[in-house]
Amino acid sequence: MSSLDRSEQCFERMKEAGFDVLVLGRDAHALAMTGTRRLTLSGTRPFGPSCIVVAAARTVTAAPVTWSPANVVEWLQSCAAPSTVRRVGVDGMTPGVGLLLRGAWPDATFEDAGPLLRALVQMKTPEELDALRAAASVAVAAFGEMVAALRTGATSAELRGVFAAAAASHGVTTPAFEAVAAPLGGSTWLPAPDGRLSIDDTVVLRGGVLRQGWEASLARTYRDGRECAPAGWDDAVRALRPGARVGDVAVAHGVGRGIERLGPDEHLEPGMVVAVEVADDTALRQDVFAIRDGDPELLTSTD
Amino acid sequence: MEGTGVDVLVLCGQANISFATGARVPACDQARASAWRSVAVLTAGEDRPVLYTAFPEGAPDDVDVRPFVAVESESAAAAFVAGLPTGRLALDDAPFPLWTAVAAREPQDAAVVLAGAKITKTADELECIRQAQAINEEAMRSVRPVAQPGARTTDLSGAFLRAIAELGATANTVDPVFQITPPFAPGEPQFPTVTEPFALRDGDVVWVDTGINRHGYASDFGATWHIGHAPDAQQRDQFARWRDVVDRVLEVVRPGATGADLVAAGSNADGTRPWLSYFYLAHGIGTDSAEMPLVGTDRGDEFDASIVLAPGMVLVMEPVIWDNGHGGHRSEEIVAVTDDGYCWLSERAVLDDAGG
Repeated sequence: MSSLDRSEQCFERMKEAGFDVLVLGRDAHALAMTGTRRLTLSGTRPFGPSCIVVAAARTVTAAPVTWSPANVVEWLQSCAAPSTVRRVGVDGMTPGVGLLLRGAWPDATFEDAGPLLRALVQMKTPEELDALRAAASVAVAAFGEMVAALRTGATSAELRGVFAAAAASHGVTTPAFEAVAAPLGGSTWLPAPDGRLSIDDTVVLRGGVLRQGWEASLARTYRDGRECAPAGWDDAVRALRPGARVGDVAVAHGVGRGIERLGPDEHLEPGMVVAVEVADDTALRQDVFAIRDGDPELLTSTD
Repeated sequence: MEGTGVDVLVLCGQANISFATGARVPACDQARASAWRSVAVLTAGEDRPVLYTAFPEGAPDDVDVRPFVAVESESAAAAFVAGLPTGRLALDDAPFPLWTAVAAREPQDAAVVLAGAKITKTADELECIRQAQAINEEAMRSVRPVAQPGARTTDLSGAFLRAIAELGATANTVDPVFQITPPFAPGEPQFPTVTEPFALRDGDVVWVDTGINRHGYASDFGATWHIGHAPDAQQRDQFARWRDVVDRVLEVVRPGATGADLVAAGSNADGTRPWLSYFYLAHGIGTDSAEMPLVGTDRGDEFDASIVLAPGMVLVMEPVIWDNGHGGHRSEEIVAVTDDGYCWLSERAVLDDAGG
């Protein structure tokens, strides 16, 4: 499904929810609406309008590059005249931008667009699943290079560099997160920057990419050059059936354009894509699965 | 916070939290970083910031570490706000559920506290930026030889990312930009764009822009590369004009000079600005890769005049020169304002093909 189709769906959902306008700041949301990727910067960024969706006019407009609040207000009003704007959905807020938005549309109320956006993108179309499979193939290939480079004395930074260069050789330069190599038992996200891996370590590797904005990630555990899996992994995978409550299975989060929020009381449905992580004292494993009728599809297979 | 009237400062922005607490978090894309975001609370009269985080291992010892709060969820955000100290509250950025929960406290923008604190750097902060920049430049020395006809732009990114990891960068912050810039653009060229795996060809002009992080502080490298051949006379002239703008501006950089003074110094004799209209003459850098002071933007003369240079301010000089039909030149050089002028935090024209 193209971004055009997603934006058409968005207009309908906005009408149902009573939103006149959406002002979106998150890259993943703007990308879903416009289909245009922007330069990726890591980390959080303060909310600011990067894309505006107007239900009545059925338009999606990317923000102009400007540093001037007056120009932003003028642009917002040119997309949606103040007299037409009563309810605005946003995906974040800052006190400064709040003043600016109220200046543009004095009669409007501002509400959370999060539930609408989550519902809009949660079920993946066949084309989106293909994009996630393509992301997974890059993540798995780069991960394989990292495994091949795993040796006593290596540092996490060195292996992070190996993963990044390998992903780039497949044309992908945006990580979902910077790859990690860390001894099991310590932090597997923020290992000591200068720590070296020892022959005695059981080592957890993590890697993930965003290919054309679509995420895939995986983690595995190695000891003496052999992969080990946590007890309960097979059971965790078998539990990934339509109807399962998210809080009752080992789902860490949804997967799409980056990670997607999934509440514990939501239920798995065919078309969802999820990250599953299981850890015990001996090993940690994480993979991405597409939920379907019957067994789930493992996207990040290393076999 | 003293003198601002703010009693409680709530920070959700990663760069602001890094500035206020020194805490580290994994380098992630925006969606993941937002879902996993830490929250820092600073209270007037209290020495220790409180940090709610999923990554306590990244917090310095002088921080009061508490469990992660999911401020993207309504119930968790409401419970979090109910537990905040009383008084006048300021906030930098909020997922909307947190915004809803905190709205009754009529939050001010955290800039009232942070802007003044962040805009001038301590000697330690300047050293962090200098070290981050040195790693960025050193990595680029190993990437430049790769930029030959036939190589793909993403191969350059790969070489860069591998090099910075080995040289001691704690994170990469900008998806490396190796933008093949055509000589013509409708109006002005778009920059930066996403780096796609394009093969370099003889005669290409590549605008390079990379940013890495070391111990929470950013760097910013910019250069213009000419692929497969030496720059021609016009390309050397573009570099000369770029250098001339920077040199004219540097002549007036000292405490007390205003942003308007810098813009006037960098402008053409007829008052027009020789840089892209949607860009700037210079920006600051710190825990954010581009932060105040922003000088020579489209925000207007009054705003530029309101910026008064002081010792410790950092200027990343970035006036993009463009001759439609003949391409352009884009580089970056970084100085810090000192008591009587400025000092360099970057090398000059490092790896600029037309500047060698």
